[in-house]
Amino acid sequence: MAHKRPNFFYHLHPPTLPAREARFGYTFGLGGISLLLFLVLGVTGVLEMFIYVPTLADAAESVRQITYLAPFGWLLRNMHYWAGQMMVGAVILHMARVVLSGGYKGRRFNWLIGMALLALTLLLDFTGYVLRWDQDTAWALVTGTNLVNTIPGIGPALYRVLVGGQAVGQATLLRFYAWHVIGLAFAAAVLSTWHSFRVRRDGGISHADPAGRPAPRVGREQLVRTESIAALLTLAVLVGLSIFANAPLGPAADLTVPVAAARAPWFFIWVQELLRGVSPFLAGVLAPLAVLTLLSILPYVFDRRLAGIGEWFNRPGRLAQGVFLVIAALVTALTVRGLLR
Amino acid sequence: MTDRNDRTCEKTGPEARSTSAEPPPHPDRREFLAWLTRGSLVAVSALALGQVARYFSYESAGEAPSVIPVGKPVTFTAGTLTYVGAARAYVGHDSGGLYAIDAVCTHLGCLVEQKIGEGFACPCHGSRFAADGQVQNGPAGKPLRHLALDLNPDGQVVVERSQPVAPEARLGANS
Repeated sequence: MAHKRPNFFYHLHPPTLPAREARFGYTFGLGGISLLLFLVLGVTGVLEMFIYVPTLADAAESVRQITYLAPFGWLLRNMHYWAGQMMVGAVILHMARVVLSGGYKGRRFNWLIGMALLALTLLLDFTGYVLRWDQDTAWALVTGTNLVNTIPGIGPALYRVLVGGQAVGQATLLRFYAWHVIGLAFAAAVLSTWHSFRVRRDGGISHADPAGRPAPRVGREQLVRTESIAALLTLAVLVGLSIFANAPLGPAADLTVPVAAARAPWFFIWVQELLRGVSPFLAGVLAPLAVLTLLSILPYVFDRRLAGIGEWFNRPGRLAQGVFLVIAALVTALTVRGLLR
Repeated sequence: MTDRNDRTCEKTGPEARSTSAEPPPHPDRREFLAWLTRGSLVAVSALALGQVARYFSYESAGEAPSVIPVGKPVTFTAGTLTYVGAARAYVGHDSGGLYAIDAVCTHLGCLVEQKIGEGFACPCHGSRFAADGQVQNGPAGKPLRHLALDLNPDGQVVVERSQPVAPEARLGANS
């Protein structure tokens, strides 16, 4: 029988994988789902670029052309919106899975790449949110960039580089557009490729070899099948959401009109809540940086051991899991408080 | 990485057999060249990045006008407080005359909204200000600015956004 060359999707995986960890119930496919949503965002985003105009006068109008006039534009924009929100969720859940099942053990550098990808995902979602250019997003942009201004020393210089002038205006929208469609997106594409490559290079999904003998393994076709099902289900959820729930679209931004209430995008509501009580630099700059730093050093400071790899709530990793869960609980509590307001 | 490359060179190079057993002839020279290569790469990258940062600091448009005409004095009748979008300020008229309060919140720059009753509230983080701009409760730390008012040659009231004044300052009814 002639040897059949594996197709591209088989080629991405090692020939065999540990049986226990290849099951859907271990990873929930969250890393792969994030990657799939990133690809969907790339495709739908490029399509939106054919109509979207990043100018103060036309931005909101061109979003309406996509939404109301272009055939299936509403579906396209809804899919881009929902894929973005789902990706933020999938990335955060993926991180939680890796912490709680000791997946970072022995692959600390890939954990750091993952942290960079988390930051990039949030920045991509925020810059995209601004491009919508309605009243909500305009004030998120004003407060977000003014936070940069509060950094001692380099703040004002950084603000002008970010905003492209003395105050938020045309240059700001264009700069955020460039960051969103290529600057940040390219960095995220490179890092997610590297992130996936590191998993492959480290021998596939993290797993434990039970005492002495190697763990039972399955062929990669089994994993590819599971991944295909997960991908189809993800796309079904995405298209379903996009058909039944419209992406928000408020009145066009006008930086001279006060609004009754301005809410941050949902993943920054916890920062907005902190800002209500704590000084801007502390709440808006140091707190998010502290969260990112604490998460980054988990495998370097709180759990340096290899024992417990691939084991949910493993004993050696209790401290790291505790730190993560406390951060997650605080952020969730603040978010809920902001949502109920 | 350098090691691996060296090894490949030794295996495939023309004089592979004769040199493989001996140490390289000038180890310090090699080291120096490697250091020079890395050093120049770092230096060139740093210089280029510095220029990229300068490129980003370019600002195309000039500053927005800071003196903004808002209308004839008679449009601001006694006892009223009117929001003027072009100036991003509230123009009021009390017993002393006309005055302007900056609508830009001193916390993070959202525009404060006039509250039914008295005073202002920020929609972004909930700061409250009294009718004269004083902070009633946080997170804002500074009161809303009072802006200078003047009359231009056309007889229009102008708000001077770049010129804060004391809260008592009024554009007199006699002027």
